[in-house]
Amino acid sequence: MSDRTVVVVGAGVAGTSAAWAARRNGAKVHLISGGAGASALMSGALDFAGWQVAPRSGHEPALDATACALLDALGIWQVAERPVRVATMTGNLRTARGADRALLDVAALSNVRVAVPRLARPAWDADLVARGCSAEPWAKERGVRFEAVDCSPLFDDADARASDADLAALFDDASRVERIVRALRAACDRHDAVLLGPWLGLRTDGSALLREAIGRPAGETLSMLAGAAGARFETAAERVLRDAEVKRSVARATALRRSDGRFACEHDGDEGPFEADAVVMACGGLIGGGICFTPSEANAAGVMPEASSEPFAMSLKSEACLALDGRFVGRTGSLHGPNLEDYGWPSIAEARSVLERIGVRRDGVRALDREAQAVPGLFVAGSAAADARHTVLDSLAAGIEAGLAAAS
Amino acid sequence: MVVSPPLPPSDTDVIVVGGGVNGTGVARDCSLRGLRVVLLERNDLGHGASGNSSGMIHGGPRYLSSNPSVTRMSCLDSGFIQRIAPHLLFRIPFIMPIDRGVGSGVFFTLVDAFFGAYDKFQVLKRGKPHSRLTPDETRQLEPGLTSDMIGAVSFDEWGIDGSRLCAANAIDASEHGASIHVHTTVDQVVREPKTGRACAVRWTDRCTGASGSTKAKLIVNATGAWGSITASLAGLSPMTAAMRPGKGIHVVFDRRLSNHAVAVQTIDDRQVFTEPWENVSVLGTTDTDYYGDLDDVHATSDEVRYLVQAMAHVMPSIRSARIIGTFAGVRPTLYKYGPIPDALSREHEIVDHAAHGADGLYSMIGGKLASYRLFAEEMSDVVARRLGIDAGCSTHTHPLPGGDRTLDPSAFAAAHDIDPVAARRLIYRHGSRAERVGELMLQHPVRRAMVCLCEAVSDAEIRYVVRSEFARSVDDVARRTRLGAGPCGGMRCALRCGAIVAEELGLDPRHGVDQARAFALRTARSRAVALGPLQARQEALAIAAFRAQAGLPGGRA
Repeated sequence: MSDRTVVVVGAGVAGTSAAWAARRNGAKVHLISGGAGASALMSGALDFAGWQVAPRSGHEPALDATACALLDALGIWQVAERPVRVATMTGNLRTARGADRALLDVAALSNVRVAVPRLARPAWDADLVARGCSAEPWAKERGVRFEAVDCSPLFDDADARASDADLAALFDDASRVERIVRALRAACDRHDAVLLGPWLGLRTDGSALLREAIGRPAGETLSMLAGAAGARFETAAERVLRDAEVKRSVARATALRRSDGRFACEHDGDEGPFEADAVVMACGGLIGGGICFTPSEANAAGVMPEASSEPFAMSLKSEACLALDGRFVGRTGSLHGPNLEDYGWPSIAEARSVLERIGVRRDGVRALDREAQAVPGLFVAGSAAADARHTVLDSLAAGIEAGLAAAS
Repeated sequence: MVVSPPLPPSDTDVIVVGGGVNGTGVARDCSLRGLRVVLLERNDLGHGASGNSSGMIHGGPRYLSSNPSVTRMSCLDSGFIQRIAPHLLFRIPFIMPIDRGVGSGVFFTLVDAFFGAYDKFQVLKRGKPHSRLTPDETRQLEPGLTSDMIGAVSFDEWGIDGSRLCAANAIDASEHGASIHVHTTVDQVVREPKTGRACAVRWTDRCTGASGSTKAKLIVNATGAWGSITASLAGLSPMTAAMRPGKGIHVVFDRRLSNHAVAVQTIDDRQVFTEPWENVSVLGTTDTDYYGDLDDVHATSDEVRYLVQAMAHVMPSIRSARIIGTFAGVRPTLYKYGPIPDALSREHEIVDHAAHGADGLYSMIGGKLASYRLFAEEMSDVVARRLGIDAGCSTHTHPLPGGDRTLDPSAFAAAHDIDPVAARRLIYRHGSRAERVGELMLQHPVRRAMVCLCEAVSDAEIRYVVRSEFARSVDDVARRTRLGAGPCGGMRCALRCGAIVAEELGLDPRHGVDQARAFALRTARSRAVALGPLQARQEALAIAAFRAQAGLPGGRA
């Protein structure tokens, strides 16, 4: 067992996994986070690689016992042996390695009719979802038909404008689940399964209650941005970290100073710097603000920038450096910053945007400095790492690895 | 069942090639005179310069000293456009600060006198007279102007949505019998072997691959910057319809940054401006000779930096404003060897290709948004004379679709249970035709749902522009409604819009996903060249959101 102190920066999938794993190995863990990142915006699909890339690469890593234990602790995700097949809110079906358990996995279904209840929600068009899903070649082949059905309202008019995540939170209330059950029993009694939007509880497993009550598979579509799946993860992560007795601080980490083999993590909170033997940087990529992009012309007045600057920087200053395609990222040969023409979205599936490839130079989970030497005690996981996959399972696996390494 | 648009008829009076403001304007004018018209557009209505202009029908003060007749013509026609499409116009008051420096006092007096002369034309377009402002007055009106100035002048212009103007002209033409075909390219202008007379065109529908030919008595080449190419399709030298293609780009900010449009001098002594335009601010424009692919014109980061640098000269805070996109178009300016692009004429002229042995073919060269109606009238007069039609022009008195009467946004919002702001945006785009969108909204609550939250575009409006305004893709819908033109760049709405378009046109839903993806990639490229700190985060988010829901091109699981 470790007697080390580990500071984890970031509370997304990678940070939570790292904190949990380090704690499990006996370290004292202090998690500092300043806000939400990509994990809070997740769709509910779990992948190792981008979903359109994964099937081509042939094999995917299996989850080890530690990862399975973390999945159990979180209790919101399922990763089975076979891929799942889930629907989007705009009527497409996609495969994933696993999914939020509230989602309706249609992979095992064949020759069934799936009811899609018509409900008054701004982003929900049951007919559109039913038509789109039914037209997917997979659905036609398997005889899975999606049909929009009329349904009495599942929620009050006052809730109609609530976000999907807020609505899902309302369904943690048992009396509301009863109401849904009654309405869906009436609406879907001629169907074999039910597909709903992402509204089925944050703390409770609403879809399980529903499945049991109506006696058939029932579940959600993928969430759009800032939907239920991300909120569910945040809720579960909070519980897991509390149960594991991880100390938490709400602040933005600003710098890591290393001396005599120990780190001092500076931050913008009221307390002094946090001391640690090891640090896991899981502060996210561009989305969460872990990596910042600032061409030097931005914020300059007059006709010219004040000085040349490095366009990309970590929000958390440390000895680690950023890399793009294996090379150190530094100043460009322009006072205004880089030529931006190449920063658009890639036009083919395998190529990824610069905005996704940029990250902390690394060897596995060990962060490297400008000389490509590992910084002792400094680890990186999740979207902050160079060439990260930006997927939930990749962040989870990397987070665990970084947490275990930091604790030993 | 695929709902294919009808194919062009095999025979007609006039074929108009090009669906920009000149082409749709001619199609409308000729249709109103009772002629049978077929309009063929290679891309989409307003796809070129018309939909990518500064969005103003300005009076052309820049021509005041060199060519006051252009100014007079522009102002007069601007007044006519206000009469026929009042819903599409919005006032854009300008401020032009004058830098303090050697001789600036004299310069200020000259500018003041110049706009005094312009005031005489302002009455033609209901414009307000200019005023001379002190530095304090200027800063009170526009606190962002922090440069050292000796004062400023104000003057008055009108904004317009160029894509809507094209759509409105095309719809009116269609309602008067014209046959409008978007995504239909002309492969060849057929000429009679003996006489050389242009008598037909061969065309291909670029969506379905269907092809055929249409005979016509006359053919009008209104393809703007593509004009020389179109002439070459008739076997003529491109020089018979020569122009100096001038690329102009604009930079779009996420909100209205200023109360007034601000005109400013660039580092190379050109005039550029930033204008509050609909829900955003637009900074433009450049003018450079362009010889690239006209179907794929886009801004470069150099051009963006050049414009931002100019505006930062008087309004430094523009550097920290968030850029959410760029757009680019190519002006079809009259050909002349020698002058710098800015000095080229925005006048227009009609080329009768009888002089080149191709009787029956006319090319419209040059022109500007503000005087499109007049140009179309001149062209249609030639057509009518050739075909022996007595009917005169009525495009200046006959309202454009939706321009016949005004609707009250609050009442509309209450009657259709939508947000008043959404109602206002809808009525801006469609005028009284918003009622037709309203009818769709009343059919089902889902039709009222806002698919694009940034620009308040409803499910009903998407369906309406597909059914009634010739839209055939997410891109086309975006051009007509500004869907996806807001800060989120279509991240939330493109896929749903694709699903709706696919449903309306009876296409495979996966085709809708492909359309949404193509739209997302195109707009992403327009944003990349202007990437700033905030937009970089947004961009990473958009990529992630799109990947999770649809994957990016290349393959499907």
